[in-house]
Amino acid sequence: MSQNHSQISDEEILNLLKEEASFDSGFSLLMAKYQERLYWHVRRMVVEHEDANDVIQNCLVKVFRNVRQFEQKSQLYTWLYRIATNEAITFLKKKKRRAAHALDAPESMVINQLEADPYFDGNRAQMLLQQALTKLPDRQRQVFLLRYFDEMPYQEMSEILETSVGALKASFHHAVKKIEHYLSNVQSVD
Amino acid sequence: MKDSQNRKSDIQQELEALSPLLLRLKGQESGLTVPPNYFRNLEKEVAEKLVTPQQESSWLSKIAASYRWSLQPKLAFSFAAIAVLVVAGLWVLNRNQESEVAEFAQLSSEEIESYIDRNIDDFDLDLLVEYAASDQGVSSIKLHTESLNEEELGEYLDDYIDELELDKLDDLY
Repeated sequence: MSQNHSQISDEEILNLLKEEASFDSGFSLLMAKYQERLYWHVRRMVVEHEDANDVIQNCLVKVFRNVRQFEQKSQLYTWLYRIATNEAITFLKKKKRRAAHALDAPESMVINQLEADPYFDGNRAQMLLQQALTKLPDRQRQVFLLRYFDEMPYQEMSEILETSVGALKASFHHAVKKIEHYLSNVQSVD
Repeated sequence: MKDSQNRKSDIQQELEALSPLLLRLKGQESGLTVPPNYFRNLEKEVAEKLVTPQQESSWLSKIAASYRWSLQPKLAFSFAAIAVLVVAGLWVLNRNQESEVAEFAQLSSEEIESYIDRNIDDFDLDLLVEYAASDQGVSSIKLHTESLNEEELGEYLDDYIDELELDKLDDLY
Protein backbone atom coordinates (compact mmCIF):
# COMPACT_ATOMS: atom_id res chain seq x y z
CA MET A 1 0.00 0.00 0.00
CA SER A 2 2.73 2.48 0.99
CA GLN A 3 4.61 1.52 -2.18
CA ASN A 4 1.64 2.67 -4.23
CA HIS A 5 1.58 6.00 -2.40
CA SER A 6 5.26 6.66 -2.93
CA GLN A 7 4.94 5.78 -6.62
CA ILE A 8 2.23 8.38 -7.21
CA SER A 9 3.78 11.62 -8.35
CA ASP A 10 3.20 14.94 -6.61
CA GLU A 11 1.77 16.30 -9.83
CA GLU A 12 -0.91 13.61 -9.90
CA ILE A 13 -1.80 14.36 -6.28
CA LEU A 14 -2.04 18.06 -7.03
CA ASN A 15 -4.27 17.45 -10.04
CA LEU A 16 -6.62 15.38 -7.90
CA LEU A 17 -6.72 18.07 -5.22
CA LYS A 18 -7.59 20.79 -7.71
CA GLU A 19 -10.87 19.14 -8.74
CA GLU A 20 -13.81 19.04 -6.33
CA ALA A 21 -14.78 15.53 -7.44
CA SER A 22 -11.34 14.02 -6.83
CA PHE A 23 -10.34 16.12 -3.80
CA ASP A 24 -10.93 13.30 -1.30
CA SER A 25 -8.64 10.92 -3.24
CA GLY A 26 -5.96 13.58 -3.44
CA PHE A 27 -6.34 14.27 0.28
CA SER A 28 -5.84 10.60 1.22
CA LEU A 29 -2.86 10.22 -1.10
CA LEU A 30 -1.11 13.32 0.18
CA MET A 31 -1.70 12.30 3.78
CA ALA A 32 -0.41 8.79 3.14
CA LYS A 33 2.69 10.08 1.37
CA TYR A 34 3.68 12.99 3.60
CA GLN A 35 1.94 13.03 6.98
CA GLU A 36 4.55 10.89 8.76
CA ARG A 37 7.52 12.73 7.34
CA LEU A 38 5.99 16.08 8.21
CA TYR A 39 4.98 14.90 11.68
CA TRP A 40 8.49 13.74 12.54
CA HIS A 41 9.98 16.95 11.18
CA VAL A 42 7.64 18.95 13.43
CA ARG A 43 8.09 16.58 16.38
CA ARG A 44 11.86 16.99 16.32
CA MET A 45 11.44 20.73 16.33
CA VAL A 46 8.88 20.99 19.15
CA VAL A 47 9.91 17.72 20.95
CA GLU A 48 6.65 16.95 22.83
CA HIS A 49 4.03 14.81 21.10
CA GLU A 50 1.02 16.89 22.15
CA ASP A 51 2.66 20.04 20.82
CA ALA A 52 3.62 18.28 17.59
CA ASN A 53 0.04 17.04 17.19
CA ASP A 54 -1.35 20.60 17.43
CA VAL A 55 1.24 21.98 15.04
CA ILE A 56 0.91 19.24 12.41
CA GLN A 57 -2.89 19.51 12.40
CA ASN A 58 -2.75 23.27 11.87
CA CYS A 59 -0.13 22.77 9.21
CA LEU A 60 -2.12 20.18 7.26
CA VAL A 61 -5.33 22.18 7.46
CA LYS A 62 -3.45 25.15 6.00
CA VAL A 63 -2.01 22.94 3.28
CA PHE A 64 -5.39 21.63 2.12
CA ARG A 65 -7.11 25.02 2.36
CA ASN A 66 -4.41 26.62 0.19
CA VAL A 67 -3.38 23.81 -2.10
CA ARG A 68 -5.44 25.19 -5.01
CA GLN A 69 -3.42 28.41 -4.88
CA PHE A 70 -0.12 26.49 -4.91
CA GLU A 71 1.56 27.68 -8.12
CA GLN A 72 4.10 24.85 -8.33
CA LYS A 73 7.04 27.26 -8.47
CA SER A 74 8.69 24.87 -6.03
CA GLN A 75 8.22 21.15 -5.50
CA LEU A 76 5.24 20.03 -3.42
CA TYR A 77 7.28 18.53 -0.59
CA THR A 78 9.40 21.71 -0.41
CA TRP A 79 6.21 23.75 0.00
CA LEU A 80 4.91 21.31 2.62
CA TYR A 81 8.14 21.39 4.61
CA ARG A 82 8.20 25.18 4.47
CA ILE A 83 4.67 25.40 5.88
CA ALA A 84 5.47 22.83 8.57
CA THR A 85 8.72 24.61 9.50
CA ASN A 86 7.03 28.01 9.73
CA GLU A 87 4.16 26.60 11.76
CA ALA A 88 6.61 24.97 14.20
CA ILE A 89 8.72 28.16 14.47
CA THR A 90 5.60 30.22 15.22
CA PHE A 91 4.58 27.72 17.87
CA LEU A 92 8.03 27.73 19.47
CA LYS A 93 8.12 31.53 19.55
CA LYS A 94 4.77 31.63 21.33
CA LYS A 95 5.92 28.95 23.74
CA LYS A 96 9.15 30.83 24.43
CA ARG A 97 7.17 34.00 25.20
CA ARG A 98 4.90 32.10 27.56
CA ALA A 99 7.92 30.56 29.28
CA ALA A 100 9.78 33.87 29.49
CA HIS A 101 8.65 34.29 33.08
CA ALA A 102 9.58 30.76 34.06
CA LEU A 103 12.69 30.35 36.16
CA ASP A 104 13.87 27.16 34.44
CA ALA A 105 16.59 27.31 31.79
CA PRO A 106 15.51 26.05 28.31
CA GLU A 107 17.59 22.87 28.53
CA SER A 108 16.17 21.87 31.89
CA MET A 109 12.68 22.60 30.53
CA VAL A 110 13.29 20.18 27.66
CA ILE A 111 14.47 17.50 30.07
CA ASN A 112 11.37 18.03 32.21
CA GLN A 113 9.15 17.87 29.13
CA LEU A 114 10.76 14.67 27.88
CA GLU A 115 10.56 13.05 31.27
CA ALA A 116 6.88 13.94 31.47
CA ASP A 117 6.14 12.96 27.86
CA PRO A 118 4.67 9.42 27.73
CA TYR A 119 5.77 9.24 24.09
CA PHE A 120 9.49 9.46 24.83
CA ASP A 121 11.40 6.37 25.88
CA GLY A 122 14.88 7.30 24.74
CA ASN A 123 18.07 6.53 26.64
CA ARG A 124 20.25 9.06 28.41
CA ALA A 125 22.28 9.74 25.26
CA GLN A 126 19.17 10.70 23.30
CA MET A 127 18.03 12.85 26.21
CA LEU A 128 21.39 14.65 26.18
CA LEU A 129 21.20 15.08 22.42
CA GLN A 130 17.82 16.80 22.81
CA GLN A 131 19.32 18.91 25.57
CA ALA A 132 22.25 19.87 23.33
CA LEU A 133 19.84 20.92 20.57
CA THR A 134 18.29 23.54 22.86
CA LYS A 135 21.70 25.22 23.08
CA LEU A 136 21.78 25.93 19.34
CA PRO A 137 20.56 29.15 17.78
CA ASP A 138 17.16 28.65 16.06
CA ARG A 139 18.51 28.68 12.50
CA GLN A 140 21.37 26.26 13.23
CA ARG A 141 18.92 23.97 14.96
CA GLN A 142 16.60 23.91 11.92
CA VAL A 143 19.54 23.14 9.65
CA PHE A 144 20.78 20.37 11.92
CA LEU A 145 17.33 18.75 12.17
CA LEU A 146 16.74 18.74 8.42
CA ARG A 147 20.17 17.36 7.64
CA TYR A 148 20.76 14.96 10.53
CA PHE A 149 17.29 13.46 11.02
CA ASP A 150 15.50 14.06 7.71
CA GLU A 151 18.70 13.39 5.73
CA MET A 152 17.70 16.12 3.34
CA PRO A 153 20.11 17.16 0.55
CA TYR A 154 21.47 20.69 0.91
CA GLN A 155 19.81 21.82 -2.32
CA GLU A 156 16.36 20.97 -0.98
CA MET A 157 17.15 22.56 2.36
CA SER A 158 18.19 25.67 0.49
CA GLU A 159 14.72 25.90 -1.11
CA ILE A 160 12.92 25.39 2.18
CA LEU A 161 15.03 27.71 4.32
CA GLU A 162 15.78 30.16 1.48
CA THR A 163 19.49 30.16 2.30
CA SER A 164 22.49 29.37 0.11
CA VAL A 165 23.93 25.86 0.10
CA GLY A 166 27.29 27.17 1.30
CA ALA A 167 25.73 28.91 4.30
CA LEU A 168 23.77 25.76 5.15
CA LYS A 169 26.89 23.59 5.05
CA ALA A 170 28.67 26.03 7.35
CA SER A 171 25.67 26.10 9.73
CA PHE A 172 25.51 22.31 9.88
CA HIS A 173 29.25 22.08 10.51
CA HIS A 174 29.03 24.57 13.40
CA ALA A 175 25.95 22.84 14.83
CA VAL A 176 27.67 19.43 14.79
CA LYS A 177 30.77 20.81 16.49
CA LYS A 178 28.73 22.55 19.20
CA ILE A 179 26.69 19.43 19.92
CA GLU A 180 29.78 17.24 20.02
CA HIS A 181 31.47 19.67 22.38
CA TYR A 182 28.42 19.71 24.65
CA LEU A 183 28.12 15.92 24.70
CA SER A 184 31.83 15.46 25.34
CA ASN A 185 31.59 17.72 28.36
CA VAL A 186 28.72 15.89 30.02
CA GLN A 187 29.38 12.61 31.71
CA SER A 188 28.60 9.07 30.62
CA VAL A 189 27.28 9.46 27.10
CA ASP A 190 26.27 5.95 26.12
CA MET B 1 15.65 13.28 -6.83
CA LYS B 2 18.15 11.15 -5.03
CA ASP B 3 16.71 8.06 -3.43
CA SER B 4 16.75 7.58 0.32
CA GLN B 5 19.77 5.23 0.16
CA ASN B 6 21.90 7.90 -1.46
CA ARG B 7 20.71 10.45 1.09
CA LYS B 8 21.70 8.15 3.95
CA SER B 9 25.09 7.57 2.40
CA ASP B 10 25.66 11.32 1.95
CA ILE B 11 24.95 12.20 5.56
CA GLN B 12 26.92 9.21 6.86
CA GLN B 13 30.02 10.25 4.93
CA GLU B 14 29.62 13.82 6.14
CA LEU B 15 29.24 12.75 9.78
CA GLU B 16 32.15 10.30 9.58
CA ALA B 17 34.34 13.24 8.74
CA LEU B 18 32.72 15.71 11.13
CA SER B 19 31.70 13.74 14.22
CA PRO B 20 31.89 9.94 14.68
CA LEU B 21 30.06 10.41 18.02
CA LEU B 22 26.99 11.87 16.31
CA LEU B 23 27.14 9.19 13.64
CA ARG B 24 27.04 6.56 16.39
CA LEU B 25 24.08 8.28 18.08
CA LYS B 26 22.26 8.43 14.75
CA GLY B 27 22.21 4.64 14.64
CA GLN B 28 20.26 4.51 17.91
CA GLU B 29 16.51 4.83 18.35
CA SER B 30 15.58 8.43 19.06
CA GLY B 31 13.11 7.41 21.75
CA LEU B 32 10.36 9.57 20.29
CA THR B 33 7.15 7.57 19.84
CA VAL B 34 3.49 8.20 18.99
CA PRO B 35 0.23 6.76 20.38
CA PRO B 36 -1.09 3.60 18.69
CA ASN B 37 -2.93 4.27 15.38
CA TYR B 38 -1.93 7.90 15.62
CA PHE B 39 -1.45 8.46 11.89
CA ARG B 40 -4.71 6.76 10.96
CA ASN B 41 -6.54 9.03 13.41
CA LEU B 42 -4.60 12.09 12.26
CA GLU B 43 -6.08 11.76 8.77
CA LYS B 44 -9.60 11.62 10.25
CA GLU B 45 -8.98 14.60 12.53
CA VAL B 46 -7.60 16.76 9.73
CA ALA B 47 -10.54 15.77 7.49
CA GLU B 48 -12.97 16.81 10.25
CA LYS B 49 -11.24 20.15 10.70
CA LEU B 50 -11.44 20.79 6.98
CA VAL B 51 -15.23 20.45 6.86
CA THR B 52 -15.76 22.88 9.75
CA PRO B 53 -16.01 26.54 8.68
CA GLN B 54 -12.76 28.45 8.68
CA GLN B 55 -12.37 30.48 11.86
CA GLU B 56 -11.27 34.07 11.80
CA SER B 57 -8.08 34.87 13.66
CA SER B 58 -8.71 35.50 17.34
CA TRP B 59 -7.95 39.25 17.37
CA LEU B 60 -9.98 39.81 14.22
CA SER B 61 -12.97 37.91 15.56
CA LYS B 62 -12.81 39.86 18.84
CA ILE B 63 -12.92 43.18 16.99
CA ALA B 64 -15.70 41.94 14.72
CA ALA B 65 -17.69 40.74 17.74
CA SER B 66 -17.31 44.12 19.44
CA TYR B 67 -18.83 45.93 16.48
CA ARG B 68 -21.30 43.31 15.34
CA TRP B 69 -24.19 45.11 17.11
CA SER B 70 -23.63 48.12 14.86
CA LEU B 71 -24.26 45.98 11.79
CA GLN B 72 -27.99 45.58 12.58
CA PRO B 73 -29.89 47.14 9.64
CA LYS B 74 -31.72 49.84 11.64
CA LEU B 75 -28.61 50.97 13.52
CA ALA B 76 -26.43 50.81 10.46
CA PHE B 77 -28.92 53.00 8.54
CA SER B 78 -29.06 55.51 11.42
CA PHE B 79 -25.25 55.70 11.61
CA ALA B 80 -25.03 56.16 7.86
CA ALA B 81 -27.65 58.96 7.91
CA ILE B 82 -25.87 60.77 10.77
CA ALA B 83 -22.55 60.44 9.01
CA VAL B 84 -24.00 61.91 5.79
CA LEU B 85 -25.54 64.88 7.69
CA VAL B 86 -22.30 65.61 9.56
CA VAL B 87 -20.23 65.49 6.38
CA ALA B 88 -22.73 67.67 4.50
CA GLY B 89 -22.87 70.19 7.37
CA LEU B 90 -19.09 70.45 7.56
CA TRP B 91 -18.89 70.89 3.80
CA VAL B 92 -21.46 73.74 3.75
CA LEU B 93 -19.83 75.49 6.74
CA ASN B 94 -16.41 75.23 5.20
CA ARG B 95 -17.71 76.48 1.85
CA ASN B 96 -19.39 79.55 3.49
CA GLN B 97 -16.25 80.45 5.42
CA GLU B 98 -14.15 80.13 2.33
CA SER B 99 -16.52 82.30 0.28
CA GLU B 100 -16.68 84.99 3.00
CA VAL B 101 -12.90 85.17 3.18
CA ALA B 102 -12.66 85.21 -0.59
CA GLU B 103 -15.26 88.02 -0.92
CA PHE B 104 -13.61 90.06 1.83
CA ALA B 105 -10.25 89.74 0.15
CA GLN B 106 -11.69 91.25 -3.01
CA LEU B 107 -12.73 94.53 -1.24
CA SER B 108 -10.51 97.55 -1.63
CA SER B 109 -9.34 99.41 1.49
CA GLU B 110 -11.53 102.41 0.48
CA GLU B 111 -14.59 100.17 0.41
CA ILE B 112 -13.72 98.73 3.81
CA GLU B 113 -13.19 102.17 5.34
CA SER B 114 -16.43 103.41 3.81
CA TYR B 115 -18.26 100.42 5.31
CA ILE B 116 -16.78 101.13 8.76
CA ASP B 117 -17.76 104.81 8.52
CA ARG B 118 -21.31 103.91 7.60
CA ASN B 119 -21.63 101.32 10.34
CA ILE B 120 -19.51 102.91 13.04
CA ASP B 121 -22.39 102.66 15.52
CA ASP B 122 -22.33 98.88 15.23
CA PHE B 123 -18.74 98.64 16.44
CA ASP B 124 -18.02 98.18 20.11
CA LEU B 125 -16.82 101.48 21.54
CA ASP B 126 -14.46 99.90 24.08
CA LEU B 127 -12.79 97.95 21.31
CA LEU B 128 -12.35 101.11 19.23
CA VAL B 129 -10.88 102.98 22.20
CA GLU B 130 -8.48 100.17 23.00
CA TYR B 131 -7.44 100.01 19.38
CA ALA B 132 -7.01 103.80 19.23
CA ALA B 133 -4.93 103.73 22.40
CA SER B 134 -2.46 101.31 20.87
CA ASP B 135 0.45 102.53 18.76
CA GLN B 136 -0.99 100.87 15.73
CA GLY B 137 -4.36 102.46 16.30
CA VAL B 138 -3.05 105.95 16.82
CA SER B 139 -0.95 105.84 13.76
CA SER B 140 -3.44 104.11 11.53
CA ILE B 141 -6.82 105.61 12.48
CA LYS B 142 -7.99 108.08 9.91
CA LEU B 143 -10.76 110.36 11.07
CA HIS B 144 -11.45 111.77 7.63
CA THR B 145 -11.40 115.25 8.98
CA GLU B 146 -10.37 116.71 5.63
CA SER B 147 -13.95 116.93 4.49
CA LEU B 148 -15.21 118.46 7.74
CA ASN B 149 -15.38 122.17 8.43
CA GLU B 150 -14.39 123.45 11.84
CA GLU B 151 -17.95 123.43 13.19
CA GLU B 152 -18.66 119.86 12.06
CA LEU B 153 -15.36 118.74 13.51
CA GLY B 154 -16.21 120.33 16.85
CA GLU B 155 -19.57 118.55 16.95
CA TYR B 156 -17.96 115.25 16.07
CA LEU B 157 -15.40 115.57 18.82
CA ASP B 158 -18.03 116.63 21.34
CA ASP B 159 -20.17 113.59 20.50
CA TYR B 160 -17.18 111.33 20.69
CA ILE B 161 -15.94 112.75 23.99
CA ASP B 162 -19.38 112.44 25.58
CA GLU B 163 -19.32 108.72 24.92
CA LEU B 164 -15.91 108.24 26.47
CA GLU B 165 -15.39 107.56 30.11
CA LEU B 166 -12.65 109.41 31.97
CA ASP B 167 -10.42 106.38 32.49
CA LYS B 168 -10.60 105.64 28.76
CA LEU B 169 -9.54 109.19 28.04
CA ASP B 170 -6.48 108.59 30.24
CA ASP B 171 -5.62 105.61 28.05
CA LEU B 172 -5.31 107.90 25.04
CA TYR B 173 -2.36 109.75 26.62
